[in-house]
Amino acid sequence: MVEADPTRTAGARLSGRASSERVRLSRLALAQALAVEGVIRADSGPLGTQVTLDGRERLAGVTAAALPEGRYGVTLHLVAQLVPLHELGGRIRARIKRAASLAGIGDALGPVDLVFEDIADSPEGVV
Amino acid sequence: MPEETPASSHRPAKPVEASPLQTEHGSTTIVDAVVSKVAGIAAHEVAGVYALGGGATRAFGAMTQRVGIGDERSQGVTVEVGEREAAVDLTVVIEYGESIPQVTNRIRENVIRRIEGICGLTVTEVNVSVNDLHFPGDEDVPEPTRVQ
Repeated sequence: MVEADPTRTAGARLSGRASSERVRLSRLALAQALAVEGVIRADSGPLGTQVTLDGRERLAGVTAAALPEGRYGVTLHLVAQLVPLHELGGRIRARIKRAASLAGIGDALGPVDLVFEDIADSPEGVV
Repeated sequence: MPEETPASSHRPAKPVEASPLQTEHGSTTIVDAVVSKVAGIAAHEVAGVYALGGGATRAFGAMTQRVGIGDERSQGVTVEVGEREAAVDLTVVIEYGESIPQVTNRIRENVIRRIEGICGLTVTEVNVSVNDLHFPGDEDVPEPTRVQ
């Protein structure tokens, strides 16, 4: 039996390779954003290009790119409820920053850009 | 002829002051469709507004909604969104008997309140075009079927 390795994500375990810091940050940012009340889902865009590949797994609605200073800028594409979006953005950023610090990858986290693609009433229906 | 409320040429400009959407920890982008929806919902909330959009827009909207690709909430709404400002153009149908200036003022106030509250954007202008009046009994009554 293989022990769970905290440095590896589900997608990486499937592919047998350790995830890069960029992918780990993407996964963490996506999971934390989706856990914030007011966020309905992530959106990979009309062409399905706003994704991060983690081995064979696609993380829809999140991208991360290396910045010159060595950190990674994360961009999340989200569908949210009809709530104050700038305040929601602040809560999302704070949660991601806290989680990244706890996971030991806080130093690698650069700016978190948020794109609200749509608003919706519920996970099922768009307003 | 539709009544057009006063419009200025002030449209979203480049950012000059700090915006709640641009922070040192990252930016927040709200796509035009979201601002359109918020504006449409805000206009619908005002008493005296029967519908949004012109006749052709509403007919086309009804058709697209029937096939599941349309969105009634943003019909009749055009927005220009900058990094921290937005300008909105609305086409509305008002209930006959309502004061058009009062209804359009309430639309403007509510649209500004909603967009500034939800999106954090400063609304520079809300232009309201009253396209039609709705009279009681104008609703499309379905024709009775000939068979049970």
